[in-house]
Amino acid sequence: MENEHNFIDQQEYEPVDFRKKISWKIAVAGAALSLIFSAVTIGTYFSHRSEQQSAEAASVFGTDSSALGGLTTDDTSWVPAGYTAWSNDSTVAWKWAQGSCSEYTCNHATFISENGCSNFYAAVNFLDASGSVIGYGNATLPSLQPMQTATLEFDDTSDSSKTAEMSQINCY
Amino acid sequence: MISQDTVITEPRLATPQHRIAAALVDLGFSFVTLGIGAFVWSMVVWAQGQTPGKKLLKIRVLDANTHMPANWLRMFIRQGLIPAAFNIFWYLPTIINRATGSYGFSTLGAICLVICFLISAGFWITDFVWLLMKGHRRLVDYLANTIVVNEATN
Repeated sequence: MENEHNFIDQQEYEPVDFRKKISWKIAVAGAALSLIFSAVTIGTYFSHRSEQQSAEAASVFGTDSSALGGLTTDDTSWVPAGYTAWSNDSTVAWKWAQGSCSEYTCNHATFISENGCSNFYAAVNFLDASGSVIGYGNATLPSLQPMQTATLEFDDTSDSSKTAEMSQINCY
Repeated sequence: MISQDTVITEPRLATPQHRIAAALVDLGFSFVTLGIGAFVWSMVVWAQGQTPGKKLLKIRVLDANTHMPANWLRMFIRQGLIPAAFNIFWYLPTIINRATGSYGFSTLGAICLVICFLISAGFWITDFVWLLMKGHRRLVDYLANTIVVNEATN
C-alpha cells in the first residue's frame, strides 16, 4: 500500500483543474438557454402588448378589433383588382360600374367591404361641363356582408350633369 | 546548497478577502462618484491590469499563462463583456419593458424571465464559489484566462 503511494508521488502529476474544463461549457450552455428564454420573454411580451393595445383601442372606438384595423391602418391588400380603396376608410373599396338608368341620367358604382357593415351609405356629386357641382345622388343599404359586392345606382334628377365623382362612403 | 538555476516563481495569489475588499472599494467609489469617476479611472488603470479598488489594495490581474499584467482589452473583456453577458439575458427584457412603459407580461413570458434571472444568478453564485475554492479563480477568471495576485509587500 505504501509502495503505491510512493509510486504516485514520483509521477510528474499535475492535477487537472475541472473548472478550466467546464467554465466555457457553463458559459455557452447558460448563454444558449438564456438566449432562448429571453427571446421567448420578449416575444410573448410584444404579443401580449399588441393584444392589449388592440383591446384598449377597440374599447375607445366601440368597435371590434377587425374594424379598428381598418381605421388605424391603410392595409389595402384585401382590395380586389379593379377596385379602389376609399380614402377615408380603407376597409371599403369601390369602382364605377355599367348599368342602365331607370328614370334619370345616372351612374352606377359597385362597393365591397372587407369586414361588412350594418349601415352603408354612399353619395355621388354630379358636375357640369365646367366641373362645378350641380347636385348629388345617394344610396343606402341596410347591411353589407364582408366581401359582398353591392352595385348601386345614383340618379341625377336634374338630367344635366356631365360627370360624376364619388364624394362619400360610410360603412359602419 | 542553493541552486543557481533560474526558476519562475509562482505568484502570490490575492486572497478572496482581499479581492472582495477591492470589489467593495470599486463599488463604493463608483457610488460616490456616480459612476463617472470610477469609469474614468478604470479606463486608465485597466491598461495596468487593475481596477481602482485593486490599485488601492495593491492587487493585479495577470494573464494565467504568461503571468504578465492583463492588458486593457483583456480587462475590458473580464470586467465588462463577461459580466454584461451574465446579466444581459434577464436584463434585456426588463429594459424593453421599461422603455415601452409597460410591465404587461404574459404568464409564459414571466416564467421565462424568471428562468433567465435564475441562470444569471447561477453564473454569479458559481463565480463566487469558485473564488473561495483552491486557486481562487472566479468563473470570469477562467473565461478571461486570468489570475489575480497580491503585490503588496509584507
